[in-house]
Amino acid sequence: MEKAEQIDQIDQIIESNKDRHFRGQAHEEHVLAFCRKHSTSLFYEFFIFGITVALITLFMVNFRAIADIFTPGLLHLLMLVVGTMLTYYIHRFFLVLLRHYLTVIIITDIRILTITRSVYFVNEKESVDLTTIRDVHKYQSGLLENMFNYGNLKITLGTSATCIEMSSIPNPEFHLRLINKAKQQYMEMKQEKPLEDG
Amino acid sequence: MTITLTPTFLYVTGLNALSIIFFIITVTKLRRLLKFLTLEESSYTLLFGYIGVRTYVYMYAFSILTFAVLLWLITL
Repeated sequence: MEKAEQIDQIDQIIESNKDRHFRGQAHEEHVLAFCRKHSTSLFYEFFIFGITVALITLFMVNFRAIADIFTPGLLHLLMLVVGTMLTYYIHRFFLVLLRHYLTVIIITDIRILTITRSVYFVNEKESVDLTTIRDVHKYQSGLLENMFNYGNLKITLGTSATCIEMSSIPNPEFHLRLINKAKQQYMEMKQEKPLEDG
Repeated sequence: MTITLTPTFLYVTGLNALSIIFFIITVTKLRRLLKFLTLEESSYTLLFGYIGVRTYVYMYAFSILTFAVLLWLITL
């Protein structure tokens, strides 16, 4: 009997949707879509990193010529300072990349979740119930935004007229339609449920 | 190639050791964070298609190790 109960409990855990895709996911909550910021938001970081790598390569190739310009003591000091700064910069660059991966916008059938996370410093979570959304606006202006299909979504909440702005969203048209559809279905479901309960 | 323990060499060795330790801590923490975010781990980029977190971690490791070796070579 005890074994049967344990098996039932395990079956319930397997079937449960809780925390299946992200921490804090409810039992009856299903993920409809998720996205990260468009990769063009990393363009500046990659550009600076590319220049840094090119400069380091130039320095290594012309090291002897550069070493002749400075005295040994000054050269060592310069190497230490520049080496420390570059080590810090390389770590910072990859932490920014990892932050890009950890920052996610999740649209479920109940709410919109904006998770802004970095490895060490940032841990923010914003949850917006679909029923509190009044309007959703899509902004896609400029050559880059239209060419690479990304833009901003501005969500106006009905209760306090506050706005939530999500920038660099890929394929904003799809996400706009998904939010509107999910909101409509959720509101219909909420209206049906009191009728079922009697 | 002879290795002399000059202050510069010791400083660079310490810096590289700190760098590698920081990398290991970051990757350990990242694994723990990604455990609670079991969504697709790759992200679409314009030039290279889908790139996963794993690729960026390998790039991170490669960059740290290459830079560490370069710093050591310069001090020698």
